[in-house]
Amino acid sequence: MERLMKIDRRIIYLLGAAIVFLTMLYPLGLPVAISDLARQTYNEVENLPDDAVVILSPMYDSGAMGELNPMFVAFFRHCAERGYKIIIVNTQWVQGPQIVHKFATEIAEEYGYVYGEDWINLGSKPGAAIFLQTAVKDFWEACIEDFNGQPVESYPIMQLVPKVTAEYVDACLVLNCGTPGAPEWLAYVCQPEGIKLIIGEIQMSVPESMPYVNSGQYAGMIAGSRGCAEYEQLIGHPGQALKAQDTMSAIALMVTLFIILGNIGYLATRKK
Amino acid sequence: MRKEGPMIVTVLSSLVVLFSNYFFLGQQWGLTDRLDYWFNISYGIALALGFVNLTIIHWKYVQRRREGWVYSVILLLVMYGYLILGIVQKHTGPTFSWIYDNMMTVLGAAVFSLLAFLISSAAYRAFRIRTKEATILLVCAIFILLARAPIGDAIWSRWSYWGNEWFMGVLNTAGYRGILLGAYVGAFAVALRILLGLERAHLGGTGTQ
Repeated sequence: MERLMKIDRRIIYLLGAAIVFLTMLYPLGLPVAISDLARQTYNEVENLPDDAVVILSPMYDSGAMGELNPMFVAFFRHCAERGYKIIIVNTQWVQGPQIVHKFATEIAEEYGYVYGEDWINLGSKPGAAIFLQTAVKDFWEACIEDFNGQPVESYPIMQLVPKVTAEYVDACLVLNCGTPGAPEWLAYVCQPEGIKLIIGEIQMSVPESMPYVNSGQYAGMIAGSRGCAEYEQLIGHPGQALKAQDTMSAIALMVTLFIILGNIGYLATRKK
Repeated sequence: MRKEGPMIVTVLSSLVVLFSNYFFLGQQWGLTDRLDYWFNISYGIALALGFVNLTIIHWKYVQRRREGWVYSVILLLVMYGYLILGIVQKHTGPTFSWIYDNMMTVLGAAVFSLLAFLISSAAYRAFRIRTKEATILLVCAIFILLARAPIGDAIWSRWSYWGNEWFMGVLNTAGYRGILLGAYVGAFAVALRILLGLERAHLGGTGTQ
């Protein structure tokens, strides 16, 4: 029984790796039930005006891209399907716009979106709160140039948004994984200006964001990989998150079984 | 003056921000706009300072042939090489982007992915029902773990409802709001102590008076 408490960690790692590969090769196809939160988030995006302008902010780097890239794809695809104008910009997370540019370009081509007219990538801007506060007063001055180094005011889409206020922007979709992130968007842009804030959150930080969802400060939230799988089903485009759910299930089950085994060993040895 | 100087700057900056945000006249004068520019400039200077500091430290390591000095050489080569490449090509350049996409991004993702394995092993070792509190923690952890994956629903159809909607929406929100309120009251107290010059940790040394 004592052995159950001292299983070599390499066995756990090996088993984990094997489960990841096997479930990717042979998916179980477990159904993913759609939660009220995912439905609420979907409705918030779906019900924006037809000529809506949205800011899509990938506030993350490569560490979180496994979970947040599928959310970016889902949000971008949903907005493109609805015909919204999409502005990609973030602050401080230097890698974000670089990581998502490839996906954005592919989906934009699929929907016949023209760069500079229907969507734009403004890149990453320094300053965090300072950038956000400046964007509210003068978006062009805050950004200066886009991802390709061209002046922002030279693009037709940017003529629609001289300031990040409710008059020009309908919603901010923020993909969040740390600081600065959605709370900064809320404090400096969305709350003072009355702009709808919808977020995508990594699983680890979902507990932190739930109070904001319940208070209505976040109009919606894609909660982790599971939430993204639900959202992908709602927009009718199953993607990476949905594919990952079988692996998540198998790993969750494995960890649970190891915890139970460890405790059986612990209880048996304690009684002695 | 080494301590008094930064302290005077801190107090003055804080007063300007307070005045600008809480008084109509301050907002009209647009004092924070000017401070925002200064912040951005000092951010850039701090970055350059870090760059120079890193160079000096690792150059010393190389000169003295300290243990692991080869890594310092690699760091300096990569840091300056990538900087020069970025200046020549800009961040949209093909080689610059290729290195970024195929090294930085992939390495970052790989390091983060390793956490999944570490957490699996750590959960197995840490979750023991030693006390009543530990047992509650363990039960909650397993409940949420299975609720966040479709396997929970496969076991019991209401699992994700109770885990994601009730546990997270009611229990977690109530607890987290308490923590947040406490944290913000604490942050306010620290800000006040800094403003009054009682908290000196940011000036270096041991801190409080």
